[in-house]
Amino acid sequence: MTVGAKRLMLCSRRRFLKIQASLALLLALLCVFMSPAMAHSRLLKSQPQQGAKLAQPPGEVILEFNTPIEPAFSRMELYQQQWQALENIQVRGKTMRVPLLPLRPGAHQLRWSIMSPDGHHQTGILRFTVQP
Amino acid sequence: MEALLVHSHLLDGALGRAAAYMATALLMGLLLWHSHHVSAYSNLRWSVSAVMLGWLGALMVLHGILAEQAAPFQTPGSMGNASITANQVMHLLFQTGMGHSWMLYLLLLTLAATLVNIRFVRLPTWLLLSLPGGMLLCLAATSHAGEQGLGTWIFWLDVTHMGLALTWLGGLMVMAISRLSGGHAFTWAHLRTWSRLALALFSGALLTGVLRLYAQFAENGTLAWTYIGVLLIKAAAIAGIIVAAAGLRKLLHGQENSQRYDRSLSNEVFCAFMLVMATAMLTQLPSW
Repeated sequence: MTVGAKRLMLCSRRRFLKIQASLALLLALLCVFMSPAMAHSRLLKSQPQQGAKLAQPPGEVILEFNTPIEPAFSRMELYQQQWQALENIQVRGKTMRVPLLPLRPGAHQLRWSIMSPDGHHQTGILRFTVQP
Repeated sequence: MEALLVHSHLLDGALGRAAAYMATALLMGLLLWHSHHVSAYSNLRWSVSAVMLGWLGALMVLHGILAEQAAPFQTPGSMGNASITANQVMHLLFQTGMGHSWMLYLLLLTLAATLVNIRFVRLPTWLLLSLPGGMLLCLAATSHAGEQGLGTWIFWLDVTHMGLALTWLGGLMVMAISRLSGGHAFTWAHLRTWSRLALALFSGALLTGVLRLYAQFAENGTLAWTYIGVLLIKAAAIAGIIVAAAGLRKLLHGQENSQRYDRSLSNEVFCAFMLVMATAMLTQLPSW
């Protein structure tokens, strides 16, 4: 092999190493600066709806998602001075349902947390008002 | 750096799945080369590596999920003093599809690795192949494609895609590690056979991957920028593999030159590793 050919091989090998290093760096950077919205399941609709103004307090809250959710890791909490976990949560397929005790008039917020079958975790807050 | 901590199980999940993919691939590679009568390597060493990788991967994924579920309403990035309870571990393992699938995956992995090493047990090839096949089903069931159940075409497309891709990866890993560590089990004839087989497997994986991507796009009508970014890295890794593999095929048609072959092979292995990492990352990202 001539000296020129050897130099050419060395040069292309260095270039390939540079490309490899750049690819690895790019992947690492993407990991660090990733978008914070990391979830697969999403809430399609709720009852009461987000921001609803209700004449009567709702008897239950129903959340419907785009994928089935895991019953064992479905939670809901109601804010009354502090967050309080709601019990008797029923999950069937893509729907989560929880009965509510009569709520006093005013603004209310509920937060929910679910896990989809692929293990991804999603949370959200539902706000509504019960009119006096 | 804050964005990295927003979704605490992103990297756990990606690295864990990458390890589980490689464990499955190793077993498939072992069986593949075994069927080509290449056995001048230690089955025990390979299968122990596969078991360790698989268990490590599964534990990382499950721990990532539990870490999030321990404090589901915590501000992202700050898990506070929440700790994982035994009850939560039991719930995850025994009351969720995710837990069932990972436990079955570990059982099949351990069984397959054990059977590969028991020389006096002559099992039919279809039975040995059914074990990594079952592991593939478990991996697909814990992915986005498995969310809608096993009766969907997208699930089976995912299984086919992973099956082709991991058989290619396994064959490459076993051959490359053996060669690059100074082994002489793989003759020039073996490499020529591999070249033909790899072309078929990789083309199949590429085709099913494109169909899978189309299905992903059709599901929401859009793709998130982060998802596209990682997809581009995956595409670059695929391009790197194609270039390296084309070089290797050219070398195989000429005179035997092991040194040049191994140099190009190391480039292909690097690109394959990038491909696995990018794929594992995609499983953790929302596509919309």
